[in-house]
Order: sequence, then structure tokens, then C-alpha cells
Amino acid sequence: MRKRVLIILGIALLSVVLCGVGQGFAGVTKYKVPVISDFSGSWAQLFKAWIPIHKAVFAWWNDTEGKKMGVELELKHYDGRYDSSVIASMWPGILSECKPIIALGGGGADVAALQQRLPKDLVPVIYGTPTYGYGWLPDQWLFMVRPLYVQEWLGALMWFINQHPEKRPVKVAFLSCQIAAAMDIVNGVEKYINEVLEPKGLAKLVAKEFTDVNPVDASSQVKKVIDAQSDIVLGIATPAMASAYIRACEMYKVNIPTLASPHHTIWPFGKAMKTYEPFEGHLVVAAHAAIADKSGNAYAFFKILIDKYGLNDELWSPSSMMALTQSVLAVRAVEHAIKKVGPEKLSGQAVYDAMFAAPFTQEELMYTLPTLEFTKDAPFCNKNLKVLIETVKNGKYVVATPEWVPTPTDVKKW
Amino acid sequence: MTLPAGVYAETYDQDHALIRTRPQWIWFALLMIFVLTLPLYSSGKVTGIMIVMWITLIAVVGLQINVGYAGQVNMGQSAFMGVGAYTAGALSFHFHLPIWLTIPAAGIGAALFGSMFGLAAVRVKGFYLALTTIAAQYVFAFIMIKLPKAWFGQIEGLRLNPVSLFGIEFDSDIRIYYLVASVAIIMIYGAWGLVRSRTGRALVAIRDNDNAADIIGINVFYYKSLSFFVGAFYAGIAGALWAYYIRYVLSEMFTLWLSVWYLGMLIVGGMGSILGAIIGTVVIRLLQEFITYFGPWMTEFKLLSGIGGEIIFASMNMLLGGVIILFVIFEPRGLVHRWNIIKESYRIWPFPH
Repeated sequence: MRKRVLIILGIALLSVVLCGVGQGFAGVTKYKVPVISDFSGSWAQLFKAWIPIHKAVFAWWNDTEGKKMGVELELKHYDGRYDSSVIASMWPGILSECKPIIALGGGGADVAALQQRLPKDLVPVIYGTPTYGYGWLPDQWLFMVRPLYVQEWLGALMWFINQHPEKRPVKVAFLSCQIAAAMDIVNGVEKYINEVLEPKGLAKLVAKEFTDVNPVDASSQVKKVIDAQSDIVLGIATPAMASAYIRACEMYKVNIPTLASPHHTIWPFGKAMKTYEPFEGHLVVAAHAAIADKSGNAYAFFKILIDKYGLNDELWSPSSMMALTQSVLAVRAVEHAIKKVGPEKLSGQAVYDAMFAAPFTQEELMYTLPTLEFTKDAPFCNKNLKVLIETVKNGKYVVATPEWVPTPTDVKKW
Repeated sequence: MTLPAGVYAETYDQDHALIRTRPQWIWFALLMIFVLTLPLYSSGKVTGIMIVMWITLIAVVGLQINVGYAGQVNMGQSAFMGVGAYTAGALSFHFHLPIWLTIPAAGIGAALFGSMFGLAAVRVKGFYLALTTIAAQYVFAFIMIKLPKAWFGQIEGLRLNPVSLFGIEFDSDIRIYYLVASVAIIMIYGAWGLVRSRTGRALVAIRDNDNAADIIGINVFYYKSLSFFVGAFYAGIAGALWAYYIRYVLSEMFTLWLSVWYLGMLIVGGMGSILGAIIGTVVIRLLQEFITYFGPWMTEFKLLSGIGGEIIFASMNMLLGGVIILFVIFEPRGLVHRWNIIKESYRIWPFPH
């Protein structure tokens, strides 16, 4: 009899203990967040830097806001090889394995593979890259942290025009390549110059030249740009193009500034050549925190990630900034959704709704991005767009605009 | 076709049949049951892999007819697939035609495009023909970007709504699986029939010696063009199914690299055999799946630290090259030859092969 009582008491005690443990676990709801990455494809080198950043930001969020809210986000990386067919093949598996409430995308290959099916799959996907004109569509489940390349570049072009009133109309030349993405940027900027800037006497297009994507030499194209007396050259879309452009400029002994994205010209060239001097006075623009600024709040946040989450200072780069901004927006989107529906009822639909429910403030985004306000008419924030411009001054990579610079609001689809 | 001892045809129909023995029927029935029930009990991951595998299989079987049977080097299969995808996409997008019309139309569109490059096969062979078909890749991409935007969307591509057939909307992975599997089975059956026909024998004769084939009365010009027509037709059908699965068609999806993979599938599976195309597709697709699994796994266990991504990229791509080289050196007749040896050994067991 005593033995039976002891057994019953033991079972009861065990139940209490297990319930307690269960309560502890029940306090945290876990969600898997798939990341479409590239481990063995053409962008593997780039993504190698992205992966630790994704992990660091999610670990930071789990330790801070996630802990307070009772949610843990667990990252799971997939190798999409930056190949639409691979991504299309693996996506149904991702859906069944992770049941994702949100995902991080890699770039154009997964946009192509997933864009049409996401509204039915109910998974919002966040991207760290800027957008192309052909991606400017309403009711998307894709969300880009940055606006169109065209909007970013026009913001910088307007700033350049305002800096040089003596040059009006500013003579703009294109040096680009004939791949779909680069052509899209050329078409968008060209349309805006022809329809808006030229009638106002602010700028005019004087040359449009194309090279290979990775040219060995661009001297003949650059000669035409020089002959057109260009004030600024837009369109350089790869570091190889930047390198060929600089070589041609040195050959002709000219220095016409270029305007490009940070990951295309000054930064990669400087890293490879250990000097920024050939790009003296050239400009890069992006709608995220400036890499050249290590005294701001964005870098302060990155420093936390370095100190506590295993990142290193080498990762503070334009390409890594895409992963950083993407991750920060993703965790904040989840956070907004938790505030709406609670930690246990999170779903893709809830996160999607949260994307539009309230703006993501600059403070929330850890100053890596300006305040973002998404609407259903575009997959990117199309309101109060702002950019930061960087340049090379006295051989040093510096911020040209310490404050955010607004971009034109009258850019129309092309 | 070799048959087990004691099994022989008594009528022409029996001699002509693809499946002749009861065990073959049983295996076939089991295979069909497996294929048809797979998405019902497998995970989404398997369904996703299988959908792409079926689509790839159609393109590779077409390539087998073109390369393996007719002996015409074709490195533009991916472009032909792209033409099919655009044709089906445009017909659905602009004219809302049903898929029982658009899928064959996609095949014919791609076949006509492929035939243009097939004409070169009459004049050039081998390496030069390979270069000509590589040109198809670039011509395709250039044309799709330059044609009026209203036709194929230029750089924006074409976005499609889910298609339907007999009231069934193909808006889920399982439904798409059944669509692509059904079409793939029909196409494979057709390929098996074609290669055993007079046309198939003419193609093989041309492959083995086109001068001799000409002398014995085979119209070499016609059959070489036909091989490209048929090969590209298959690619076009695969492209149409791709378009309806992804519901977005963009020229950048159909790369030269994809054509190289398809050729690799043929080499690994075995040239000149429809079964070889099937085995090669399955093996290489599984290898690709392994690669995509391997990368994240290595990172997870920190095996990537110190190894540059470019090395991983190169090594993964070298894997395909390595597999092809190994097969060319050690088993030039592909895995299908091994399969045939195993099958023969089983049939005459316990006697030695």
C-alpha cells in the first residue's frame, strides 16, 4: 500500500516538474525563418558575408525584443545557387519544413521564381537589394528595404545639380551594359531626364554608351563620353566596368565623376587596389546608412553586433549592408505583427498586414535605414524617399551628405 | 530489346509492344502507382523536386533524340525551352487560350526556332555545330529583350495567372505535379515510339555515318532538321510547363549553363537511350539537390570558415565537370549500360554474364 502511494506521489511530482518545464518552454514560441542564400552559385562570395550578419541580427533580436515578447526566430539557410530552377524546386520544401511567417530573399533569381506564388503561399519575403522598374508592381508579397535604383540615382543627380549651378544644364552620360537590370536603370533615368530635368534646364543626356558586363577595355566608349563634354557619368553596374572606366580616364588624363551604387565602384575598387584616389570626387548613393560614416548610430548598432554576436569590422561594407538592413526590417516586421496578434498567433498574413499597418521608424531600424512606410502600390517604400551620398575627398572615402537627402517624388513608371 | 529466355513474339503487335511480359506489366503498374500517389504521401519538398525533375526530363528526352539518336550537338536546349515558355506565356497572357492549345503551340514555336539552327547542321558538324547552337542562347535572349514590349514584356518578362483545364485550376504544387507528370509520361512514351520507328532508325543511321546514310537513300537534310525540330519541340513543351509552374517568364531563366547541365545529364545517363536520359536526369538532379543541401550544412558546422565562397562555387561546378569526365573515361555508355548489364545478369542467373 505504502509502495503504491509512493508511486502515485512520484508520478504526481514528475507531472508537476514536467508541467513546470513545459510552462518554461511555452513561454517562448519558436518560428523558423528561411533564408534563400547562395552557397555554391555565382554570388557565393557575397553571401558568405551575409550569413553571419543574418545570424547576428536575429540572435540580437532574440536576446532583446524576442525575449521580452516570448518569441524566438530561428534562421534556416537554404542554398538557392541564385538559380530560379533550384529555388522553384526547393520552395515547396521550405514551405513544408519551416511553415514560414516571413522569409529573407537573396535577389532576382528568387524574385523570378517566387513572386507569383507568394500571395497564395502567404509568406512575405524581405530583400536587401534595391529595386528595378519592372519590379514596381502593386500588391506584392515581396518587400525591398531600398527603393528603385533609379530613385536613388536621381536623388544623387539632383544633389549634384544643386551643387553645381554653374554647370546647368548638367551634361549626363551613360556608360552601362545591355543586361536587363542595367538597361532598366538607363531607361528609367533617361525618361526622367528627358521629361522632367531637360525641360527645366537642369540636365540633359549627351551620351549613351554600352560595354560588356565585365569589360577588359572601355576606352572607345569613354572617348565618346569625353567628346560629349559630360559632367557626370551614370550607369556603371559592375566593379569591372568601374575599373575599365578608370583605366580609360587615366589614359585620356581626365576625371569625369561617376555616380553609382556603393557596391559597384568606389568600395570594391578601393578594397582591391588599396587606394580610393582614382575615384576622387566620384559619387555613390544608397538609401541606407553610409559605410563611410563610422561615427553614426548605424555603426554603433553594428558595433554591438561585433562585440556580442561575433561579427567583425571587415563586414561593415556596402554589400553586407544589404543583409543588415534586410535582417533588421524582417525582425521589426515580426515585432509589429506580434504587437497586433500576439506571439502565438503569428502568421505570414499577420506579418504582411503589419508591413502596412505602421511605418518602421529610423530608430526602430537602428538607423541603418530611413523611416520606411510601405503601401500596397509598390514593393518598396515609395514615400519620403531619402538617400545618403558618399564620395572620395583627398583620397579618403567620406560622406558627402551627412544628412539624408530627399529624392524626386515625381518619378513615373517607365 | 532483349527478352528473358522463352519469351518471344508471335504477332507483329507483340513484337512492337513496349511492354511484353507480365513482370514488366507489374513493374510498370507499380511505377505508375508510385508516380501518381507520390505527392499524396510525400512532403512538399519531394513534390517541388519532382515537379522540376519532370520538366527537366522532358527537355532532356528531347535533347536525347537530337544528340543521342541523331548525333547532332545541341547546346541551345535551354533557349528552345525559353522560346516555348514565352510562346505559352504570351498565348495565355494575351489571348487566354486553353493549355491544351498553348502547350502544343509552345512546342511548335520552339521547334520552328530550333529548326532554324538545325539547318546549320546540314553544313557543319561537331564543334562548329556546337558553336552555332550556343548562338541560339544569345539570339534568344537578345530577341526577347528587343521585341516590342507588348509581345513578350521585354526585360519585364511575362507574369501569368494560374491556368486551368476542364475546370481544374493549377494553382497548387500537387495539381501542377499531376499536370507535368501527365505531360512528361506522354512525351516519354512518344519518344520511345519515335526512336523505334523508321524515323528513329534514320536518325541513328545519320548519327553513325551521315554519308553512308545518304547513300542508302536517307534524306539527311530532312532528318537532321527533323531531329532539331523534335528536340526543340520537347524543349518547348518543357518551357510551357515551366511557365505555368513559375507563372513568370524571363529570358534570364534560360541560360547556357542550363543547356550544359542537360548535356551532362545525357552523358551520365547514357547517349542514345531514352532510359539513359531518364536515369541521367534523376541522378544529376539528385546531385544538384545534394549540392544545395551540402552548402548550408557546411556552414552550419563551420566547415566553410577559411574557405572562400568562390572556391565552394568552383568546386561545386567542378563536381559536374568531374562526373562527366569520369563517365566519359570509365563508362562512356552511361549508367544505362550498367543497368542493362545488371538486368541481363539477373535474367540469365545463375549462369555468368
